[in-house]
Amino acid sequence: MNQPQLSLHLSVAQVQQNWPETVGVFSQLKTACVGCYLQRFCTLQEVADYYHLDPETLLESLRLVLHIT
Amino acid sequence: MQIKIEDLRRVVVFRNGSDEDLAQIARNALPRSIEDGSYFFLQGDPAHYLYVLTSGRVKLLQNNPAGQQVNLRTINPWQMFGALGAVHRQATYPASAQALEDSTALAMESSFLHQMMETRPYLSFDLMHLMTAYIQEMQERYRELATERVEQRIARALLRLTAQLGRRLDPEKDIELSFSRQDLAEMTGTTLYTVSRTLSDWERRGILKTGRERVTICEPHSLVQIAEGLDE
Repeated sequence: MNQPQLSLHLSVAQVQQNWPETVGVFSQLKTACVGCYLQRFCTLQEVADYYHLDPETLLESLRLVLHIT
Repeated sequence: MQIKIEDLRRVVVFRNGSDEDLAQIARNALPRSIEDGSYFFLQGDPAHYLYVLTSGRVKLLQNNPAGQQVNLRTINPWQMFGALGAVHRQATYPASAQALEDSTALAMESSFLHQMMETRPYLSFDLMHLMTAYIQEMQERYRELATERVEQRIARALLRLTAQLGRRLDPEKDIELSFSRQDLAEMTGTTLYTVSRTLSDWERRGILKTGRERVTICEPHSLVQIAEGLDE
C-alpha cells in the first residue's frame, strides 16, 4: 500500500487514517482534532497554527508514536 | 422498472436476504414517483406502506400544532423510510416525507413485511439495527437541544453540513458550501430569525461570509470552538 510521507501538508484526516496510532497524540496535545468534522480540510500546519504548537514539535510527537526516527 | 436483487441488498434491512426472499420482496414492491416538493405520505396518515427510495432525496419532517417544522432526517437512495407500520399494525406516520427533488421509491405494504418478519429473524434484527442507529442519533440531538446554547447547536449543524457538502477550491483557502437558512433552522430546532442573527454575528467577527444560500467559512477553527463550547 502506498502511504504518503508524514508532512505538515497532510490533512488531519489523512494522518489519522494512514496512522491510526497518531490519534492519541492529537488528544495529548489537547486539540479538538479527534472526531472533528473538519478533519479533511485541516492540515497539520494549520493545527500547529491554531493551537500555537511548534510545527516541528508536532511532527516529532507524531513520529515518536510511529517509531520513525 | 426492473427491480434488481443486488440493489435491494443495498437496503440495510434487506442486506442479509436470500435471493428467494429478495425476489419475493421485489414482486411486492411498486415504484412510485413524485415531483420535487410533493409528499410520499403525511404525518398522521395510517402507515399502510413502507418505502425504499431508489432515486432523488426525501426529507422527513414533523409539524407541531403551531405549524413550525422540524427536519428529522434526509433520506438518500436505498434507505428505507416509513417502516413503522411493519412493526405496529395500527401505526400512523410520525412525520411527513417530502421530496427535495423529483424522487422515486418502492412502496410495499407494511403488512407484507410484517408477515415476512414473522418467519425471518434476520429482517427483524436488521430493522432493529436501523432503529437503534436512529435512536442513538436522536439521543445525541436531544442532548444537544437540552444542554447546548443555540449558538453552539447552529455551529455544530454547520460543521456537519460542512463535512458533507463543504468544498475547498484551493488548499489553505476558505471552505465553501451551499444550503438554505431554513434547513439550518430546522436542523437545530430554532427559527430562521435566530439562524440569520447568529450568522450575521459570526460574519461581523470574521468567522464566515454569507451570501444567498451560500456560506464561506473563513475561520473554521473558531466555528469548532463555538461548537465544542470552548469559546466561553
